[in-house]
Amino acid sequence: MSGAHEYIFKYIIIGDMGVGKSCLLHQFTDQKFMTDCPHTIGVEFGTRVIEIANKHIKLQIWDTAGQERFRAVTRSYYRGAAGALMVYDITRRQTFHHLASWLTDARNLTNPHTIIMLIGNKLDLAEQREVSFEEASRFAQENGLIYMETSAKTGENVERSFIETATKIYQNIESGVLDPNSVESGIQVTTTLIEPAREQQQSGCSC
Amino acid sequence: MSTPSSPCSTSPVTPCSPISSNNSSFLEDVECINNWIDCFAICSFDIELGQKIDFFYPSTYSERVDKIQQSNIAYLAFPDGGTQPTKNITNFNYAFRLKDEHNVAASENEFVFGHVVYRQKKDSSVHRGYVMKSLVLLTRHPYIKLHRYLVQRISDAYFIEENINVLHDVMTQINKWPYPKTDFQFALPFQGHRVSYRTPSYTPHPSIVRFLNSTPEAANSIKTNIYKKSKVDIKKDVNGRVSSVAPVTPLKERLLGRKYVLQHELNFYRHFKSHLSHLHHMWELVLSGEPILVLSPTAGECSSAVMALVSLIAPIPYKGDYRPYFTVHNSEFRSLPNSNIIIGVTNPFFVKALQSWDNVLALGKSKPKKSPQLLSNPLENLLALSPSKLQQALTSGPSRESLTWEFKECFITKSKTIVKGTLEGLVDLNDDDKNREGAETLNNDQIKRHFEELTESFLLPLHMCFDSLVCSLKTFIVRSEHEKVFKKERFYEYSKKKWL
Repeated sequence: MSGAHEYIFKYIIIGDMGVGKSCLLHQFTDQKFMTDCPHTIGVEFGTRVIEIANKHIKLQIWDTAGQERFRAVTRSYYRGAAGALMVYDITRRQTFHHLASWLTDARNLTNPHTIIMLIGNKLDLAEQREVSFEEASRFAQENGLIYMETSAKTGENVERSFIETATKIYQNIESGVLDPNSVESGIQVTTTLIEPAREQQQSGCSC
Repeated sequence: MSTPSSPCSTSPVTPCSPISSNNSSFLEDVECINNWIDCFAICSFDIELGQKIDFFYPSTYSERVDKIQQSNIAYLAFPDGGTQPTKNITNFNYAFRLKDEHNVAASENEFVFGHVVYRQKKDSSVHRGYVMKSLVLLTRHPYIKLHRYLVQRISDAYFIEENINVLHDVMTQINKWPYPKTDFQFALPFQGHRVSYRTPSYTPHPSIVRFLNSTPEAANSIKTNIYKKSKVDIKKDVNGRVSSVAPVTPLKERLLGRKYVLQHELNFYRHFKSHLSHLHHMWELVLSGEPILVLSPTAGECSSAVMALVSLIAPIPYKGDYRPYFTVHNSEFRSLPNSNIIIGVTNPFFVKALQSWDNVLALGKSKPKKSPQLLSNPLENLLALSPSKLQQALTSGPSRESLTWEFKECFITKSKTIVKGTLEGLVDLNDDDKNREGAETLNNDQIKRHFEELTESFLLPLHMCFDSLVCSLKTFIVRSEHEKVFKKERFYEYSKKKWL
């Protein structure tokens, strides 16, 4: 029900193709792993209501196609994201190298307070690892990102990554860093929808 | 409209001519000589590139369209977000419409229709486990039901083995058909069946569109004044000739069994059952050239709904641009006009991107039980919302089963309605109705009839004006140095005196 949560946080999941963006989303929203996951065409969505500090928060997650060719279009989706999950595949070094360019996009196209989380996915394939935890951790530190390694397959850390990002966003609201009423914040306060009478400036016709 | 022949019914033909053998592997591509279709395009979602065209059939088509058009076709051949079910086989059948400006063979302002079957098939032998392909049929004719049927049958046959000879055989069969013509009952042999199809009575000709566009003031004035719109259409019907073309009444049309373009190919009731109370408002918006954004979770739903909207004002042909399905990747995305356009999309990003559009129609999964509650949604409340909140209002809660993004069914508009009306005589339908299809058809006929009559009554004063002996179109046309100018003020004055 739309009245059951107080905030909506918009997330965007970015990263090279095949790093497991859709699987992360699916694991988080449905607690299931899709062994075969069709390519994301365009943009997909998922939502889940979580609880932080006794507040119900709905995460609205935009999952994008990773193909390089879609970069221009993906850029349009960033606006108004409160959180960005930047995903690479720990078993493919190349996907780690591309992070710099993803990060540039994310920094340029979101507001300064957007929480960006770095996610090294496919932890279940740790024996094929090409990027060490330390190296990624250093990259995250240098760029002021939260870092976590996850496995969309086993579900390890998936929930934590989404919730930790949400917690940071919530803390920013609490401390006044983020204004939830600004469109750019990527946060929507749902009470305005429950009491819409307050916003009734324009009178429209009802049909 | 009940006519003895259903628009696209089939009957088996025996004995059927044997389909040419599939043994020969070096068949030359067959062109469609009688114009029923332009070509086929086989498209796939490539892991590196995304949407791409594998090939055209006949392959010569690729020489006729430039790279931009090819990429437009490739993008339109796939769902832009929305549902991505993980079933064994998923099939989507939908239509799009595309400006044919990049086709060297096409004349200016021509459009091409694309009918798509998107097929997503589980296949553990490929990376990521799914084959994602589309078969597209391109045609210049608005024969929606026929082409939808054809593309489904052709793709069913083609995707069994992805055998190009299927396309070869289809072209050979279609080449035996007579040439298409308007307002004609066809019996077309196809894959051992006889497809019975009645073509619509009027197909807007590109030269007419050009004629209309040549009067910029006519185009500009359309938006705000309904009368202006009708003026244009009268001119369209007359097509430059000053003559007393008798208006064809709906009754006469029905007796003749004629069909209007698009109108008889779609089920209004099915698409708009949650929005019946808004249909009059929509009729007005379509008539006055207001931009309308149609959002729905699937390309099939939005493409049908857009075409239904366009034909809501039949027998007036819709003059503006319409795109039953449109994606953010289309080359025209950044240059969409702000009026005289209706587009269908599945990507909710459009709600943001087209903030200046005043009218949004969101269609959800058909859940009849929910609709009464949604209909009572006070629209005023939504109007005051900022775009981001509007988007939030349009998109609803979590769906546990899948990643499917569900839209809240709603209709949001900033324009006021002038025409009030009620739809009467609709059959109540329950979810578990056994005779569902029959009742839907009845309701659909009722809606079509109602709006046809509404359009006719709107046109009546104009028809009377142009038919009367005292007054002819000449009265309002002034010959200036280089061109004839339609004096709308004179016309309004005359109309006011006579009927108001």
